[in-house]
Amino acid sequence: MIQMYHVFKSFAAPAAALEDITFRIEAGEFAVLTGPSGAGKTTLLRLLYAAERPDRGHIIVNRRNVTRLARRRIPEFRRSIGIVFQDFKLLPTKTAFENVAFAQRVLAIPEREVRRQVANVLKRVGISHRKDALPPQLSGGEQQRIALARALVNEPALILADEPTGNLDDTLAQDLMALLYEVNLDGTTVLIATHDRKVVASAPGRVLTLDHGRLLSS
Amino acid sequence: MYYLREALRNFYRHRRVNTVAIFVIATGMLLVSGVALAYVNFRQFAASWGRQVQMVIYLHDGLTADRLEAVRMVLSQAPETVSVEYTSKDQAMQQLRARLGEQAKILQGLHTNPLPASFTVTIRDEFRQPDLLRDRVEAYKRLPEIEDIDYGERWLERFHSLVWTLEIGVIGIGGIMGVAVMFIIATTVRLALYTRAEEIEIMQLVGATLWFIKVPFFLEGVLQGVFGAGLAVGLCYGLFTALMTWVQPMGGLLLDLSLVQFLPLSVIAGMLLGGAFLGGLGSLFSLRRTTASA
Repeated sequence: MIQMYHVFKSFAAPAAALEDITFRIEAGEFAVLTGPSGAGKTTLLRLLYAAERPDRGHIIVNRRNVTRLARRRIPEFRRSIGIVFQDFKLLPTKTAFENVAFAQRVLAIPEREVRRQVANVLKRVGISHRKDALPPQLSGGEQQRIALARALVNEPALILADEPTGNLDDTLAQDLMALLYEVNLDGTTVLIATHDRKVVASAPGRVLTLDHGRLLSS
Repeated sequence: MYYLREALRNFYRHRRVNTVAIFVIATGMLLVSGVALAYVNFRQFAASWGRQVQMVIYLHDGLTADRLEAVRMVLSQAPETVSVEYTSKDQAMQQLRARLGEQAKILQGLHTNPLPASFTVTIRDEFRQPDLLRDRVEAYKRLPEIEDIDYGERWLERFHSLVWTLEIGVIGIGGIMGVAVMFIIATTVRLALYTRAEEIEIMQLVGATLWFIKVPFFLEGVLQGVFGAGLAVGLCYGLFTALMTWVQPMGGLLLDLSLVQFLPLSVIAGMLLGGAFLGGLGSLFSLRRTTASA
């Protein structure tokens, strides 16, 4: 599902953000990417969803060479993966339902189908009762469920989550992780970037450790 | 349909920012409509003054009826002529008497009528230019029946140079204002979009194509522009009505106020379209910058 071959990435800072990263994650795996703050976890994920380009190396995600992806192909590529962020990144002026529906509308799915699928996914993450609320009216845990629903609604083959529990307390973090395991059991590949040791300790799958832009274990 | 619905929803949801943008656009467009109003009315007055231009062709005394008719034919068939009116020597004297009123007594000492007979030619709009009229006058003066021609040459030249100067001035000021308004609108729309940069980034992360993001924003910009221009026209109409009400009692002293008019529908439609164009274009340009970073 994910393959990185000798990937290098640097920004303006003297130290490289990522240095010679090589690893592979199979379809259906549940993997955790960990390391201290500034280790390069977010940069690695941004490379995977084509928000950044590597300086060198090759990245293959879901059988597509992201390194050579034309700019106009990026939207189509992103629709094949679901992304969850620490700060949720919900559209603040759209209701919970509309936020999830947006991911379907970009695919030009008929409105009746959108309503059906969005209702199903909101039920699946247990947030149906809050579908008409705007993000600022929702708690952190509820917002993250909406973000997860949006990531899941198009039934992607891969879920990328960047510090998904970062803004949640322990109980909500456990609930969210349980949802992600469940998604993984249904066959979706999941890669979570986190520095939360409890999450790492309880994760069922492989752990990849980054430090100062280098991959220590995979 | 999705795009329009989305644009209307966003327009309502971001009503504060949109209201500010509409007022800024309206302020700019109000200046443009003020210049347009001045220009339209100036043209109206210029056309009215221009209609007063006539050519008076004085004839030698003692022309036979055949010669008079021949001159009338030449003048009537000329391309610049709208109408030809003959004034005989006697009619000229009567008119002079009428004009002098009580002072007409001074004419009693005259044994003969010194006033010439004349043709008064009303000129077509497109010939009311000093150069064209001068050529015609020179040609007529070569006719032996014609003694002299008066067409208010100096007045016409001064009037034309005034019209030309004012037109250039209005076009220049209007042009500068138009460009300034364009920048103001583009900057306002851009500021409004900056507040939504994160929204655009999220849309891109979810996999929305640039056009999917741009079209509702473009339509929102168009709506801002149309509402801004509409508000400007409304304000301009209010100010115009107030000014006319204020001026009316003293009216007629210098100008014929019945000639004053508000912007014609074609100009109003042009302003609304211009507002839509500027708003839409401002959105697209701003989006190019905003979306380039995500």
